[in-house]
Amino acid sequence: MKGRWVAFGESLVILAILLALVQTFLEDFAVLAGWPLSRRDILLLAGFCFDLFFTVEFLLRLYSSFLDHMSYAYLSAGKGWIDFLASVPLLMLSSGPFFLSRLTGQAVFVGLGGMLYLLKVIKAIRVARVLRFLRVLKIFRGIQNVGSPMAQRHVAMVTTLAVSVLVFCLLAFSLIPSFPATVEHQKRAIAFLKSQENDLPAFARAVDYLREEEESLLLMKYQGKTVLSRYANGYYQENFAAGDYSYLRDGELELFFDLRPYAQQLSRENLLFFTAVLLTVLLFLILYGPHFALTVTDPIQVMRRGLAEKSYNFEVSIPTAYRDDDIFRLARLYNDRCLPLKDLNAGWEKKSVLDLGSAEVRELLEKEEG
Amino acid sequence: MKGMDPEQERAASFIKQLWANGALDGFTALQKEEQILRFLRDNALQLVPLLASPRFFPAWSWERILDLLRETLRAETDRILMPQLDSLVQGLDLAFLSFLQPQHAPAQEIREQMLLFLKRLLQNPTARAGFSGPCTAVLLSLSDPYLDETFASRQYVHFELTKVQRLTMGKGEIKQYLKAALLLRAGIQVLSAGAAGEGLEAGSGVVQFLFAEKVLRLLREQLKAIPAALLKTAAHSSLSYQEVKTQEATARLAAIFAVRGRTYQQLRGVDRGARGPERSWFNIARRNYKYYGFDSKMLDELYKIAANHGW
Repeated sequence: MKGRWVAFGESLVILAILLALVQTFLEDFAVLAGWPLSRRDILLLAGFCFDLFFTVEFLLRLYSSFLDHMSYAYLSAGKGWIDFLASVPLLMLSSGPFFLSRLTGQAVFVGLGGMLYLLKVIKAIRVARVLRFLRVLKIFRGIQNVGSPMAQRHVAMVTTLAVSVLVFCLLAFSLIPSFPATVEHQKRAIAFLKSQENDLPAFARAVDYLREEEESLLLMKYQGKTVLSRYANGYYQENFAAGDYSYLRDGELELFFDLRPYAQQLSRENLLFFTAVLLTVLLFLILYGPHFALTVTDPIQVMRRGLAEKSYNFEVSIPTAYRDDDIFRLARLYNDRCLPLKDLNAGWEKKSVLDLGSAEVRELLEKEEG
Repeated sequence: MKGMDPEQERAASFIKQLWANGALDGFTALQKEEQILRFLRDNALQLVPLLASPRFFPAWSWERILDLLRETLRAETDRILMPQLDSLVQGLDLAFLSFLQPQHAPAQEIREQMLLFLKRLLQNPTARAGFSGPCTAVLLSLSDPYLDETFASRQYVHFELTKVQRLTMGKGEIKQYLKAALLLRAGIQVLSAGAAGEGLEAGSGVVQFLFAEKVLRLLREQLKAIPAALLKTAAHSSLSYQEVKTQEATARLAAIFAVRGRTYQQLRGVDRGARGPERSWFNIARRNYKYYGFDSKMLDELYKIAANHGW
């Protein structure tokens, strides 16, 4: 009964992982495609739920391993570090704060440069979600022609290494502060307005000029009053959430800039990265897995059976392209020397293929009696 | 199971259980019998205390238990084998006999003599074991696809059959000829029991030329309706080609497929990374051709056929 619950739990986790990967993709795709805020909010809520689910799952696994005095084993060999990176930081630094800000209706006002940097770091942290790909490797066992635990372990190891390197490189580069030209450009815009503040006709011309030339300028307030708004209020409510705009203030001058092009650029980069990781994982599973099986575990398995089983006399198939590999040199010896000797000395003539112990024979006899 | 005493009933059900074991799937009836007999022999030490216990065969000696089990096993095999044998022999197309001996006995008489001979043969445990391989080869027509290929490629085997042995019959007749020879091949063993087992080499089944000739004489006396050339092929199929270079091509082929039939298992899946069962078997046979007395050139050709077809 307990085993059935565990199996159900594992299946649920795998399903959640697959759905979370779809959600991760859609969250960035929605930004790129300019989906309305209401739909993006649903995705955001879904992302928060998944992060919460995986955080709880990680804590349960950690607690369970702690009770068994296996915490270190879980975090290292059991790949608990992947469970951690793909759950807790995401909930604490990405989906959690954003979800709370949306829930309370309070926008996060951060200076322009800070906002851009924060957006970039948060987007980078969300990339850790693709590490969840590594957790679904085991469901590919059935379809990747790799039945041996050794092959599965090796394929999982190289896939983990490759994906981890990709993720950590992206994270590391994201943490290096760098501001796009947009920041300087928008700072110059507010400085220009500020310089015209004392000459009202010039200030009005400057506002008109910015309305025409500065497409990213959404809204301008002076002395608390709106002097420029590119869209109606309803449009802002429907399409702008925290992270979609930035706020700059200098004295009585307040400017709101459209950050959606920058967010789209980040989403494009994220999708590119997501696709790169997806392809890396799939190619390792589809190409490297069977290659490893063909050139390592399959010949070993055939030789093992030939040595262990009385009537197993199949030769190892030696692919021409790999005939000089150590394993196939060994296989050649097995084919040419071991099997013929087995045929002569210990093969068919001497042993039965029936391999039943006393207990099994007793069972047979008792089965009939019963 | 009416009319059986409790011990017979127990033996019958035990044999049935062994017979149904998954490891024996894909084996013919005689092969299964052989496997179960080996199992009983190999595991006597473990089986004696269990079977001789008061619960199963109380106060019986192992020999007595074994005799009962053997008898039961043989009955179970015969229940399946005999109808198969009947349809095999009745289904043989004996048109090839006209090419061997234009004036021969009626086909039905030959079939009846052959069937009678085989049934007599199967009374002898040694001959029964020896018949397992040829019987499997005939039942499953193991040689047919190879003969098709050798006739298509017209290489060594075809040359040996048509130019050296000078068989004028077609491919279809040769297939039937080979099957008939395979069925009669075990005759060498039923007669060897009567001749104190001389000349038999355990394992390979190879006999000396003089012994084969002696058996052939006896076969001719007993199976008068069957053409001498067919009996010769059957008797000579137990010779070693290494020692008798004049061995007929049909006898050499019968020798190969009789041994192939011994270990042939239908429905046997091939693991990934392994060569097919036919290719594997022929390659091992190529290495051990001296031991079995095979013609290595024939094996090379048959091996290539198996390899090319992924068999």
